[in-house]
Parts: sequence; structure tokens; C-alpha cells
Amino acid sequence: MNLEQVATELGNALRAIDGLSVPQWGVQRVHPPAAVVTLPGRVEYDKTYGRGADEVPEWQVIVLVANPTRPESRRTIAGYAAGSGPTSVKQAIEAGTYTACDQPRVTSAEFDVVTYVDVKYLAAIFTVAITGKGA
Amino acid sequence: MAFQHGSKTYVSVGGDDISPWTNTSELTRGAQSHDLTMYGANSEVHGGGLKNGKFTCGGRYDTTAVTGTRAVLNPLVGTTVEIIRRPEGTGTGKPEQTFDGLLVSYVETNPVADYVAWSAEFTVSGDVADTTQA
Repeated sequence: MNLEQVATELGNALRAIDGLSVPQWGVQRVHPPAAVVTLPGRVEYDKTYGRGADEVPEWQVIVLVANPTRPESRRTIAGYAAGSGPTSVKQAIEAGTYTACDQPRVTSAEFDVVTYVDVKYLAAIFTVAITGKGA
Repeated sequence: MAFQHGSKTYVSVGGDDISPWTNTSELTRGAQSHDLTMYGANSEVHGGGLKNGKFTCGGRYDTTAVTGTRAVLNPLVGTTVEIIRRPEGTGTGKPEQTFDGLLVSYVETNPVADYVAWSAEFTVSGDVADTTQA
């Protein structure tokens, strides 16, 4: 499982959401609303015999929305956190096309106000579970 | 002393390598016990009888056509197939066990918050051949 390719395919899936920008990891400026595919939290090897499967149980995707205290920001982020719909991050990620891993599953979403490059954003932090071939 | 990690285990069923979607397996070898106790004895006396065995395995359901879990195992229920087990992995000089197994159960489990899993149980039919890999 090539993690860089998995990150690229997650980004491609997120671009299906109209108006959501997906900057490369590590950029110093984002244009909200933006989805940042973070580094995978932990890779677990040897989930089956013979290097058959590896797993990333928690890979976070963070959606940033500007103006964290405004009511419209909460409405916007609620759309991203919805289980389905045109701006649903779960729906977009799980409907994507993947060759570097098995079909991902978005397992949860949490909310916070985060600071990215000295700017505060309302954030929805999605956790994605991913498995792929070990060899 | 040298321990062996289970991740190197190799299992094939009916000629198909099922290792890439298997994460647990167990071969149990046993024998019948016959009571040979006679009058006047203070303790039971037992003698060995026919050997028997059970092989169980399980893992994550693989959707791959032809070589995936369902394609390989589902048609084998009720049939006897050759099973090859390499408990220390593949390599010259490492042990290998070959035996016939009757697939008596094949189970697919679908938890809502986890990957689809499978398990299978074989009754060993005949002897288990213990050899060393060439």
C-alpha cells in the first residue's frame, strides 16, 4: 500500500465536492473551505498472513471553514459532516475510486476550532479507516 | 530458543494460497483413548486408538473474483480437499504439513463497524504428512 498514492486518491475523491479546495499537504496557505489530508496516524502491518494486508486504522482528513464563530460557518460544516448529500465528506470519500487501497470507510467526525498558519478555522476532523495490500 | 511470528504462516486449500486473507489458523491433532482397565486395578489404564484432527482458519473476506474468499471456499463445503500448512512460513528446511480436510463449515460474518470476516472448519481425513520443505 503506497501511502502517498492513497493520499492522492483521497484528495481526488474530496474534489468531487463542489467548492471544496484540496491543497497539497504542507502548504502555507489554504483557501477555505478546504480539506487537508493529513499524515496517517499509524500504519499497522501484517493484518493477514504473508504480508497480505496492512491497515491505517485512523487517517484524519480535516475540513477547514473560515470565520469559526459565525452561524453560516456552522451550517456549512454541518453539510460536510452529513452522512450523505452533495457536500458530505463521508459520501465523497466512500464513493471515490481507489487502486492503492481497499474502499475506505469514514468512521467518525469531530469538531473543533483549530489554528492553521496563524489563522483560526472551524474544523471538522474526519477519521478514515483504510486497508490495502501489504506486499 | 527461537520464537516464530505467526504472520509468516502459509496455508493453501485445494491448491489455492489463502494466506493473503487469513489471519488465524489452528491445527488440532488428537487420538482416541481406549479404556483397558481390568479387574483388580487401582487406576485406569488407557491405550491409544485412531488418530484424528481438526483444522480451523479465518480472516478477512476478500472480494477478489476467482481467488477471493467466497470464490475459493464456498464451493468446497462438503468436499474433501488437500490442505498444505507451513507453520514457520515458506523456505527450505522449514516444516510442512499436508493432509486432506473435509470442509464441514464455512462462515461469513458481517459486523456493522468492522470488515467482513470469514472462518472455516475442516475435519482431517486420513494421516497428516509431516515433511520438510525442499
